Amino acid sequence: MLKIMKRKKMLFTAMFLLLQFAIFAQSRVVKGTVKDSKTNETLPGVTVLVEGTTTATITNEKGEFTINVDGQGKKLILSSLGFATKVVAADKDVVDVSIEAATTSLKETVVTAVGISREKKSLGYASQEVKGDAVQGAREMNVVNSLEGKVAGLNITSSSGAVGASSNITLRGAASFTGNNSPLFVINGIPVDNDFKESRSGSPNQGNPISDLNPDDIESVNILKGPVAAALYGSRAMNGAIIVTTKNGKGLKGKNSDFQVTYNAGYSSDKTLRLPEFQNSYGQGYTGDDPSDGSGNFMYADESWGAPLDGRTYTNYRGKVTTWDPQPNNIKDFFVTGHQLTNALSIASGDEKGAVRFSLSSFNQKGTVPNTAYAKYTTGLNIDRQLTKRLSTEIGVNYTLTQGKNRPGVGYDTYNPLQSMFGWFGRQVNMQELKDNYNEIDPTTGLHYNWNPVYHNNPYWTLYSNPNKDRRDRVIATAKFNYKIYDWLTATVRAGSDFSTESRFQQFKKGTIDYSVMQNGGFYDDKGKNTTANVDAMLTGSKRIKETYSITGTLGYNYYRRTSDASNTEVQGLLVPGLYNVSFAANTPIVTANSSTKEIVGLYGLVSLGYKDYLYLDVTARNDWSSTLPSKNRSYFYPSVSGSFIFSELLKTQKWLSFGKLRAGLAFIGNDTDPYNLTSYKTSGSIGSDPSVISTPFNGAVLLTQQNTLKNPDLKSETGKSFEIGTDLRFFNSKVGVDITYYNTTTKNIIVPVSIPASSGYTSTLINAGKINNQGIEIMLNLNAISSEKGFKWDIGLNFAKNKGKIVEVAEGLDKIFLDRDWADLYLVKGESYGTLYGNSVLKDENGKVLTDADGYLIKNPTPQKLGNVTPDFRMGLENTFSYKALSLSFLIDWQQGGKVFSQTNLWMDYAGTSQRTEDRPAAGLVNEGMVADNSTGTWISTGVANTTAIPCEAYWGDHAYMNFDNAVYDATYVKLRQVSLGYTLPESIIKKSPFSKVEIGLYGRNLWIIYSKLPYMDPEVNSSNSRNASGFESNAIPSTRSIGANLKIVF
Amino acid sequence: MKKIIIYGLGVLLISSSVSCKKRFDEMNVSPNNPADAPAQMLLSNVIASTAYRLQLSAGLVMTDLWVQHAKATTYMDEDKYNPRNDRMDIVWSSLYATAFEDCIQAQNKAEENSQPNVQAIALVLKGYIGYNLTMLMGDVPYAEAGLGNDGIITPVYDPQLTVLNSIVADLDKAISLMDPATGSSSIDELPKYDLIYGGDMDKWKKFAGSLKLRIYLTMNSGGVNKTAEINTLLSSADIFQSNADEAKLTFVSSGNPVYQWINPSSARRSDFRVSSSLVNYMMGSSVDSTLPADKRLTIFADPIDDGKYVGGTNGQTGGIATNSTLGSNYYSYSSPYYFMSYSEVLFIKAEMDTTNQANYEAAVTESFIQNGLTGADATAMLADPKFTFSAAKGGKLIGEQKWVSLFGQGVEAYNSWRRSGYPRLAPAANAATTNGYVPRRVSYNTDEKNLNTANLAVGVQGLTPSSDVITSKVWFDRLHPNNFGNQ
Repeated sequence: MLKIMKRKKMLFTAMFLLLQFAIFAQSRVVKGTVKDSKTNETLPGVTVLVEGTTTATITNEKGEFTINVDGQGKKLILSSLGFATKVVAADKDVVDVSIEAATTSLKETVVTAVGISREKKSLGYASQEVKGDAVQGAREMNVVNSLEGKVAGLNITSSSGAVGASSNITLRGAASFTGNNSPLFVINGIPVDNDFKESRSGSPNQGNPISDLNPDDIESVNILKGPVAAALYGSRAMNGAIIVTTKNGKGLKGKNSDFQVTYNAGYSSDKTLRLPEFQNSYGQGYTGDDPSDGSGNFMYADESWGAPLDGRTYTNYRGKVTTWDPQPNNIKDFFVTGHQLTNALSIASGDEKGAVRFSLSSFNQKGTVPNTAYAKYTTGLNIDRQLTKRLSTEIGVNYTLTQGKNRPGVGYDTYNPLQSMFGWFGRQVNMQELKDNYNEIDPTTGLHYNWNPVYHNNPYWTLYSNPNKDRRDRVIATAKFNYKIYDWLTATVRAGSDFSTESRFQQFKKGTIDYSVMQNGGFYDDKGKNTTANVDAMLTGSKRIKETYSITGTLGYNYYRRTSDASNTEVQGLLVPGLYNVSFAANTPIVTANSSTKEIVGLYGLVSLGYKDYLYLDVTARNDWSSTLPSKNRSYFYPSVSGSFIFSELLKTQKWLSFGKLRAGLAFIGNDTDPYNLTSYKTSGSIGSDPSVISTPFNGAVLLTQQNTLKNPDLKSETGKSFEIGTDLRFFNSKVGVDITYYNTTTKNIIVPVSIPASSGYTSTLINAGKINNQGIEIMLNLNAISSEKGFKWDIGLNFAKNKGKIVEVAEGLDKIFLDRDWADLYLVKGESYGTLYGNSVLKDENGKVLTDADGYLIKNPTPQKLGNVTPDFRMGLENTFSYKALSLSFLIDWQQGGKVFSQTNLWMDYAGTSQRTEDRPAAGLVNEGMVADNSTGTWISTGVANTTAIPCEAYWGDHAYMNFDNAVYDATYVKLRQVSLGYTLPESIIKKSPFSKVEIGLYGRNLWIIYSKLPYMDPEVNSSNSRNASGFESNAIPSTRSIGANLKIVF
Repeated sequence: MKKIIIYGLGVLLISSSVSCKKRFDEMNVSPNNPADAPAQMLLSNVIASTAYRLQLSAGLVMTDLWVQHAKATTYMDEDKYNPRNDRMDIVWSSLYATAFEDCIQAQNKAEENSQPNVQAIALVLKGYIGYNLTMLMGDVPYAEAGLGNDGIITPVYDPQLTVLNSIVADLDKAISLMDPATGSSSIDELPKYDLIYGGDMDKWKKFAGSLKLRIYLTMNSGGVNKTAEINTLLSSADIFQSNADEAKLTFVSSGNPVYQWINPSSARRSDFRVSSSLVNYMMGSSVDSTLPADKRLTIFADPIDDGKYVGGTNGQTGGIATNSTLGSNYYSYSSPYYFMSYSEVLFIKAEMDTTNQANYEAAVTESFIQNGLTGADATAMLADPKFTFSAAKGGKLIGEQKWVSLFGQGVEAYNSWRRSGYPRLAPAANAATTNGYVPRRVSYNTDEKNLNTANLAVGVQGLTPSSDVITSKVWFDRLHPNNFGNQ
């Protein structure tokens, strides 16, 4: 340490000498201090030049300068690496200047595929970097969600407002059909696992593993948007890659730049953003059931078509005599205020030989659904060290523990307490009574009391008596060694592993109402283990020839192995009530176990050529061998070529153009399949799942059945071709920056699970058939609108992405394939974008008017009809940042245009008569507006007469909702105020006297306001499907939350 | 150091790129599931899944409603003759892709390994499944069905008569393969995997013979006279001889599939109640709705609170508290599914001579015994003037009583109703979509319409009229002059 200090001192002494010399020679002296406009830190080493002269100086350690100016009207030009050049008038004796970091520094290096650091300007493809600050300010549980609206082409859909919920992520649309369409996640060079975890269908969402990251550890996130950028990663990066680099203690700034302790505390309070509106005039029942008639009939209904809520006296489900009154706030009262609390501490130290950083963090969340919680604890250690003159190493270990407590189920599922509250509900139900008495058992049935004793559980029973818990322990370890064999040749070996164990436990207390077999108690106990190992070995050579040409070449070898093991145990019935131990199972436990292993071996190479720092050419090639493909098709090769031309270098006289680059790239890419897709196996037969109705062992025998998928021993790798072209332009001292990319990616020979006639003995088979094309445009605009000398600044950042996906080919003879089903069906349809909804529909005439029968009822269309496509037209994010000295305010607006969403919340609320829309119930009934049709010929034909016959309101709304899904499909367009944040950095004057080197205070709000939406009742953004490729389904989604929080960051 | 690194990298590259063929081939074999398994192990899943689909998917939620044994209280689609596509589709796709396919796999494997008894059982079950499919839908793939593994993805549809003849041929082949002496051989492990008879091949023989009776009877209805074959079988020992021979699956380790839907012992789902058609018929002359003339009703249904047996009208929503639930004895956790009962054989015998009182009474009495009642209970019921035999109304009585006796076997009750025309059923209330007719069949599978279009079009030609709707009639049903029971 002493040495460094000494060296620094010498340097500055030299500078002072220079300065002194300048003073001697001149007459008028101008003094000043230069600061970073953003951080307000003083900046040493800034060059100060008097315009039109050769007189120059450099700021000292404290950012101060003194310079002689000869004559009047002169200007000072301030420049420093990584900062925009600034010109100020030298008309006063003291000129304090703030200079700002260049929007994107031209010398900026970014981490690209397989961990190769590159100068950004040399890249022939689009990538976008998000700095760690952006994910540390306004906090999100899931780091990925912080990127929402900030990156052009990145599409993030959060699944619900539940604690620890996952998000669906795609870059530039889906490249494959039913396979994994999520980009590859890479942490410090090691590809990590980010597959959805769902131990059982309909089970609570356990979140993406990427949310295991501690946001405070993130240095930067670089998004390689397409195959051209990610080509070196091979098949796993067909959907682009998201490269996360964590902090390592290098490049510390400020007072204690050799040893720094950073503490970060954050708190936010979360409330449900939007709730449905309900009718409050009619209570539980079918066809006007009267609760006071003594039959108890109304109770068996889980709908609200009962008697008017007129205060009549009745006996409720607990045998209590009470009045039949509306409960307008019963749903609102169910939700509570959620909290999120973050504490993060890091210790970092660095010198020129290396750096160390250690971090600890905790995150605790309580959800808006009662008794739900989520916690995440992380610890990490990163060590960088120059071991010898030639050998350096980087080692990192991260451990994360995540614990979910009672994550609620999602979608149309009994685990989701909202299923029985939004739609299937009695509007007279008193929530407090449910809450106070949820554990009471009805002695005649042995089941707990609930407002409906047959279909649903009391939501509090679900949450308090039938809770679930889950846990994931995860270790990501990486080690990298660099050895400089010659000055121009480096060998690198990087090895890493991502190891996690998961467990999930769901209990069912004796007395559970359910048409399942869990009424005598039972549980699910699911466990899993995943290991990913990744090794890269590379040789990199780099030469410069006569300052004109540069050449860099890399040869690499990659080994990847992923294994997973899972065992799921289901127990139906408990011998000892309350004892959830498999040893005391009343029936034979149903245990399923699954393991899988997959390996990929790859060889790759990269050659980069540079000419005079403005012309670059990259050629890459990779060959992979995957264990999942048959031996004859196991090897696949894909090359790429890309280049960039910095034409601004040739136009240096054009002052208005700060930077101009053209880039273009072409890549071929391949993709393998999942393990065990080549042979049809015999599996354990079961009917009904969660809980199982028929399963092994059955009457003491194994149930063995031929798989329903006819496997294909001739599968080939999927192949893709991607072309992109773009430009990066900056004008007026980089005050305006535009980055535009056009891309066109076609994937073909997609491995498609196609349905085949069941009479063949199989319901589906796997073939190489599909073809999908994605083309689109991404625009990023950065504008420094105002930058006053007094320190006021206004920056505008805008990103826009339009992706047009088209299913070019499904399979021979087919025009669509099935993707997912949740009442409505989602298909991939030839000629359309990814994801077309189909569902129940009624007969209509040629004018689109519904047909009715003679009694005024709608007529079911025997064939499900197309309801709309779920893919949005475009997405746009607009971020405005205002700053004045140490204060900054920014807000982010997010706009999605188009796409359709099938809202089951709306559907079932109408069906069951709980929605506000169904409140008007004329005694005469309601009339289906349409034409009367006649069926005497065997076909329904409009008579041309308008229908005037009214039908009961219950039948009207029932058919309106359930027969005609058109009525539940909405435009998913929304405009949202995603984020507002206010930041303040304590000024130098205060800090100076404190032991701190930096103190930042932030206030923020997230998901604040749905400015525009066509979807009633729900947040249009919430996608409640658990499936990794299904979007466009909304089903009793846990409402998204509005978070308001504060953040404090202290650097010692 | 430099050399070590360079050589190290070289060795790594070479060793990895040396053919990893064997290693990868071994790695890509599933450790979870067998690609190959003994034939008998497939039988238990065929039996369990067929029982599930016929009792629940094709039974309770569809044909039980259409023959008016049961009625729906809510979600009225099927009860109002507006069956949901997925409800119809699952019957076809599950029976073909699970049960039928497993029979083919088991049959081939057993043949390969010389396990004639296992092969025979697979053939009988395949015939049983094929019979139910053709009876529900009409012309269906049989000869080419289940051969996806051999490259037949779009099998042709065989005319119903061809299907029935092929099944008879399969049953005959099965009978010829059966070797009772080795029925419980340790190689076959049938006591474990044959969930119906535990490897008793004598009983399998009788089951196969009894199934032939059903099929011949169907051919008779279609106008192909098989009376001689039926009479020969009836007088042979190759059919069920007593209740001990009946083919049934008892649920031991997991409950009867309908148990979870309607088990009335606890207040679980209440989607179904007993139909008034059944209750009113079984009341006979009794005017006291707590004391039905036909005591089997006390097994089929549970009384409502005041001890009364009350049915509900099909097609009418509700009735949860006012109508009787389906019988707790009948749909309990371990209630059996009947593949075929002895009483049905006796009813077939009765049908062959509708003037024979003894045959009628024997069949009815057997049905009582099957339900745990006594001969005396049957005698009492037969004394009721509504049920007392006369030659003039023999055909009607036999048809009606067979319909009662097939309670819980909705598909066969539906077959019997379409064959005999008894009982006369009034269509469900609010049944607009069929123009007021009780459905005559189940629609073809949706995937089949999309993916096996040309062959299906040929199959549709076997329907009267040639239209894939639930009101068209299948081959054996087409000769009836009208939609009896629908007037």
